[in-house]
This record gives sequence, structure tokens and C-alpha cells, in this order.
Amino acid sequence: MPTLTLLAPFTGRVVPMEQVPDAVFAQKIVGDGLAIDPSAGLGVAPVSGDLAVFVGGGHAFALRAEGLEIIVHAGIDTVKLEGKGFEKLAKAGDRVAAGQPIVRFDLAAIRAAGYSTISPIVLSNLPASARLTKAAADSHVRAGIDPLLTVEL
Amino acid sequence: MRDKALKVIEGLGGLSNIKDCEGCITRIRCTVVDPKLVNDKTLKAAGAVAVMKMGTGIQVIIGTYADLIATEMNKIRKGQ
Repeated sequence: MPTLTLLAPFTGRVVPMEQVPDAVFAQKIVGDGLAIDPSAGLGVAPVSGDLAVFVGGGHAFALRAEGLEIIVHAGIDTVKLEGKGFEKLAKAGDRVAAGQPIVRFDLAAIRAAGYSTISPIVLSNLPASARLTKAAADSHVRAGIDPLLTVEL
Repeated sequence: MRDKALKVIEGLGGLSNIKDCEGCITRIRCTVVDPKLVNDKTLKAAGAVAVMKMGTGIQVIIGTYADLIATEMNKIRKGQ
């Protein structure tokens, strides 16, 4: 059985998906996963794969690897910042390596605009048969170094 | 994408019911005039996995094509 390890895309504290202050993420409508409350404004690729989608504002991207789609979203409702405080370090269509910097963002700007910095990492097409192992809630993870989610396909 | 965009517009109650519209990674976020005109069935037929309503704010959760569909919707809204 192939196993895919997803590294933390952000440095910070692990937050259970149920505690994300957004109903769509908290109810896992898009999929299961975990969130991180970042302590630094850098998002890296959690796994080597194709950067399939990178939204205009740079606040969210989707990677495809081993047939899985992984969505990384920096902050909540950050689409409304229209890119302010976000700097893209890669572009849609790029083949990226695990740990590669994808986006730099200004945590203070997100907070100043009144949005939560809690950042969900969602597996949007996880097969029902797959086994998902998650890092412990409240644990501290380092971007591109510590495993966040492990998927046994 | 145009077919999907047209279907989503229909599901949101037609062009005249849409005040603004933007795409995020998996959602199309819209403000509508009358939320009662929003048809979940039509939106789900267009590929939506869920529809969230908060007053006149509608979020259509449709997957990572959301931004492309929203871009197309805005082109249609501008008559392009």
C-alpha cells in the first residue's frame, strides 16, 4: 500500500479541522485534514507534486500528488484581501518539491483586516478506503520538516 | 467552463439576481438580491457539493474549478 506523507506547509500550532472558524472547512464539506495557526508567514509545498491551482490573490493553492488533491488555504476569508499581503513564490502549473516555498504572507495584515490566520490543509478527494493519520492537536510543527498528515492509500 | 458558469448563474436565480461574484479555491462566493431564488438542485446539477446561505451571501462549494467558473460568470455578467 502506497503511503503519502504530507509535511506541514506552515510553522505553527496544529488545530483540529472542527475548530476552524468557517463552517465549510469545520464540517469537512470539502474534505478532511488539519489546520495550522501559523507563527510565520510562509507556506511551503506539503508534498512533491503539481501546483494545479493557485488563486489570483495567492491566499490558497491546490497540489496534486499520487492522484490526491491537497488544498492549502492561508487564513480564513482571506479571498477578500484580494492579494494584499500575499506574495506568490511559485506559479500554477509548476512542478514543486516538498518543502518548496509557495507563498509568503503578512500575518499582521490578515489580523489587521479582522480575519483569522488559522490555515486549513484539506484532502479534497481522499478515497473512502484510505487511512488518514493526523499530527496531534496543539502540537507544534515546522514548515517543510514535520509530518502533518499521513495517507495510506 | 462556460456551460458550468451558465448553469451556476441559473441556479443562483439568473443574472439579475447576482449582485457580485468571486471565486476562491473551492467556492464561488456571491451576493444575491433574493436568496429565495437560489435553487440548490440546479447548483448541485452544475457540480456543487454543497450550498451555504448566510442571508444574501451564498457560497457554492464546487471544487478547485471554482475560480475558473467564477471568472467565466463575471465575463458573462459583463456581456463578454
